[in-house]
Amino acid sequence: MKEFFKKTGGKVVLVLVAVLLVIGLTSLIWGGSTNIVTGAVRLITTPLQKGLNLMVDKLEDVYAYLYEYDKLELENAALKAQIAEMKEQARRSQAANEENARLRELLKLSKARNDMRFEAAYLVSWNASNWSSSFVINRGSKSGIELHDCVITEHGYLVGEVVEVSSHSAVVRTVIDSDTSVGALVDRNGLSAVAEGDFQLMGEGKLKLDYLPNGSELLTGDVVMTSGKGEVYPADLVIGKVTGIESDGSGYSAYGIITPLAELDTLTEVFVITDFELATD
Amino acid sequence: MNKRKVKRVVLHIVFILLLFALQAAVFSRLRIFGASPLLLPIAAVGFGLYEGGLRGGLWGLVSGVLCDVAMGDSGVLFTVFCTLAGFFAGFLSEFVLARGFPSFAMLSGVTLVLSALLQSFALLFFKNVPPLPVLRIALVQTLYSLLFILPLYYPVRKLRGRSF
Repeated sequence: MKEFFKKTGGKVVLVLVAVLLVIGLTSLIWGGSTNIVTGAVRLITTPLQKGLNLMVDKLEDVYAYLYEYDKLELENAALKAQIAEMKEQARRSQAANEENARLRELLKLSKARNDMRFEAAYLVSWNASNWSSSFVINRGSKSGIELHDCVITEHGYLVGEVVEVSSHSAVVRTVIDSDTSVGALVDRNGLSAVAEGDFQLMGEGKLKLDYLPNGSELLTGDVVMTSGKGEVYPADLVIGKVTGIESDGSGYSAYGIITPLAELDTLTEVFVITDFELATD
Repeated sequence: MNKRKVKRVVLHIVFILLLFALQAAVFSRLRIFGASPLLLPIAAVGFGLYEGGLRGGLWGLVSGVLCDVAMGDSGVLFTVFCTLAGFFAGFLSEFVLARGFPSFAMLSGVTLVLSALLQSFALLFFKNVPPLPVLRIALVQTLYSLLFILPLYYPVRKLRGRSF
């Protein structure tokens, strides 16, 4: 060993010094750049480091999956609950907006018809009978609703009449029910007639405009209003539009077919007229 | 009344309320050619057939009251009719009919036809409504209701008991 160092030691030291000198010189010449040796080492180690980092990343993911799964699950459930709550808020907001729009329409109507007092009510259920057309509302005598009160939409379109009242609910018979009979007049020419329910037309959601004076002129598209006769229905409520003109079996007299303007199938909220001034002739 | 009898009464009430909800809230919206079905009179017949005239009449009365409520009028047509249907179904099963599906189907069919005729009676004879549209609705209501005889047979049979 001693011999080896005596013979080659000086050479080894010389080589080392030479290498250090080369490294030093290249660093000086390409200042700021990687020297040759470091570059060579990096050339080999970079792919290895990359592979190693990738492995560590994967291991970290596995760790996170194993140890943070529960936390994520809880977070996910909380987010789902939050979404459900936000959806509910949006739904409520939409319902409130719709109600607001209805009330705005009603406000217009009450400004135009300050002779009337209204009570808002929600539709609870349609009755299951195949022989009549009626529904239940969530307001009754406690809210000032009385038998034969008239029921309208926010636009002032006639819906029907209260035919049964209990303390917290009432039954409304619609205009298309075969028992309905309303004094009516045609808006265009003041023609007086009777709008009445018809069993056959009830299935189609329509009613009849009957007892028209002989020789009277009725056109498709004519708007039919309440006449106010009979003291049950206030005057000038829109019943519907004439969508057909038919002659009776004998062929001597004609009757109109009215399609109500109140969309009965989509009703959710109605307004009961609890008081109104009678029409004066 | 012991625990078993109370349980049976509760089950009857729950079953009748379920049929009421189906008839009033579900099938009233699922109309076929403008008609919805009757479920409670079928149940009244079943109670009578399997539980005798007295209990048939009693459960028929409960079913009938709820049927009139579902119809939305203050009439008592179904209150009276379902009570009688339950009673007579029980009476016939005591002496004439066997307690099985054919008897149940036949009595239910007769009950449904009579229901439709009774419902159309006032329209035909007091309100001068032309017979054709009335009979059409009567027919559709009866046929639609007949579809429920089989689904109602098993629960009604299951509810039978003679312990009160």
